[in-house]
Amino acid sequence: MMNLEDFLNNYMNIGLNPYIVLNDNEPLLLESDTDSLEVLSISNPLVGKYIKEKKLVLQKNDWKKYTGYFIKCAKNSFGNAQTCFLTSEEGLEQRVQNIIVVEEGGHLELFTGCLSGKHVKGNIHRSVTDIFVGENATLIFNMIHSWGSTSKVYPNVKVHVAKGGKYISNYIVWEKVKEIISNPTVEVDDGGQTILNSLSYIHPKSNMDLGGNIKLLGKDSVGEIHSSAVNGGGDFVTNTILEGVGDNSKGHIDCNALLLNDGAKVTAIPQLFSKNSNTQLTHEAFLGKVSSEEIEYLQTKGFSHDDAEEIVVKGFVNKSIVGMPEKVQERMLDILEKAKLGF
Amino acid sequence: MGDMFKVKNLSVTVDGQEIITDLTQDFTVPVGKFFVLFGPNGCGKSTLFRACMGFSKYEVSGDILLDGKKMNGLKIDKRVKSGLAYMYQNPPSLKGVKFEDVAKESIGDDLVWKEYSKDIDSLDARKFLKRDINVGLSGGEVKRSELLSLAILEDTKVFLFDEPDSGIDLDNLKKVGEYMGDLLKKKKAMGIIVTHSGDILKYIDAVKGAVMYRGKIACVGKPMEILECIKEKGYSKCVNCEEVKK
Repeated sequence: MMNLEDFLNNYMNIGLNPYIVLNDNEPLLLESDTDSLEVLSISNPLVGKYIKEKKLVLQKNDWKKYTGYFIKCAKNSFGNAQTCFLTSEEGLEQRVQNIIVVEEGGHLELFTGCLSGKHVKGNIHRSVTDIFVGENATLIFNMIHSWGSTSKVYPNVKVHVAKGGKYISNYIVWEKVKEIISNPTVEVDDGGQTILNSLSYIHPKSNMDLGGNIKLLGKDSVGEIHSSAVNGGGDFVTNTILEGVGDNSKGHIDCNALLLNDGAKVTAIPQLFSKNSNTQLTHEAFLGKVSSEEIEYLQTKGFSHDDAEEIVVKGFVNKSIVGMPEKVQERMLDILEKAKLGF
Repeated sequence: MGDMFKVKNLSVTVDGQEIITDLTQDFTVPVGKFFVLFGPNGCGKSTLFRACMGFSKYEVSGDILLDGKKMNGLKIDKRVKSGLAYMYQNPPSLKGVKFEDVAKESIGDDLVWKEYSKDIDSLDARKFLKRDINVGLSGGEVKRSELLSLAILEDTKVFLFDEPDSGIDLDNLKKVGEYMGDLLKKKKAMGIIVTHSGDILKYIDAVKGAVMYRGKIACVGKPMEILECIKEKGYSKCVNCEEVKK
């Protein structure tokens, strides 16, 4: 188990209750059930019963031992919670299966962090997460990573957004990590909406593959993918796919990446597929170094080149987090302040 | 004040094209006063300022001297710290970067920032302090924002004002002009100003002027007289003006 000191030093408790912690591959210890929010261990038989009753189709895994949670926000209810994945053993492969359900008309906000102890090297996190956003329901899923510099992270997320539902993902990786491959798939029904935001800092010797696949299946469905990255010398790939199927479906992809040095590598692969002439899909991208015009402008205000670059990058981050929940923005700015932008 | 700011045998090349050729000129005027630089579009006025500030893409030979100290080779921020400040004609927009955050970082002390309250009010600047720098501002607001950013610099000896009167209405013209004069007095500095219309001259104490033409100084004299001459005869006549012949 991770010791308390490591935990407190690494993870900021934003004060939400319940606080769901998954440690290594141990079962979730604290289950809870209120009128609005039910939190169960994935191994609880009640979970299987609910899945069967609702005929939910899950992604498969062949793990023998794994941890995970089941979170359900009840019909027409409001709920929020924070969750955390911990790895405390060196070389451990954490395996997680999660299920999140927001029933019809419900509204759930999740704040998730991931971290490993300072002494933990070479850990791997694999997860399979199935998310079901019911009719006219909303899920705002916020993830702020704090893995170690040798951690490898492979989440596999599949989301289904029912009629009139909304799924918003804010995925932030700023601290050191060895590798992350995260390409969630989101299927959107009639009048549904999804927005996948990601903001990342890629450290030297780090590989990051952050993208997403949105299938706009329903009439009037809407999907957006916004990828923002500051690359300090690693390898960043963003594979983003929009599929327009439903009548009058609309989607947009944009990618903005700042390359801070010659070692930084960025590959943006936006793909748009339309299977219906009545769809509208767009994409745009900017990959490049920090504008010398902006740097020189700030130099005329007395800032050194390095300080000016830091201000411009901070501005890039500020732009990228606009619209994210206040708690996420505060946490991001706190990370920036502590990390001094990480370069 | 002797030899506060001058250039000696200055040549400036941009993208392989020589814009200023072997220019020698003392721009020094007393504290609180302005030297006015006139000239048609493309004659090299802004190039002169930007070369003096050390912007990239401006290849310079000759000397740029601030209070006897050579500026050549210094980075932009070092020139600013030496006492040379520059007001952009068209500054870039910095999305996500708020004016007040940058100002506080520059000053490094919240209490000192509060001391600029009078400047903020004089420039009617409160409404854009919490906005991104130069994003969605009117022409007048951009000029006032630029001036406020100059006000917080320390130890400035020479201000270079690049067309502070372009693209602004009459109310802003008065506000900007009067503030510029106050700024010079407060900082005990002198100013060099580039203007096309000369409209701002009625609000500032300009004691010396020159016409720049094809990268050279073609005429030196009293600013208002030069302005009248330009209005009457046009820039091309300045090449043969009596002052130069003298």
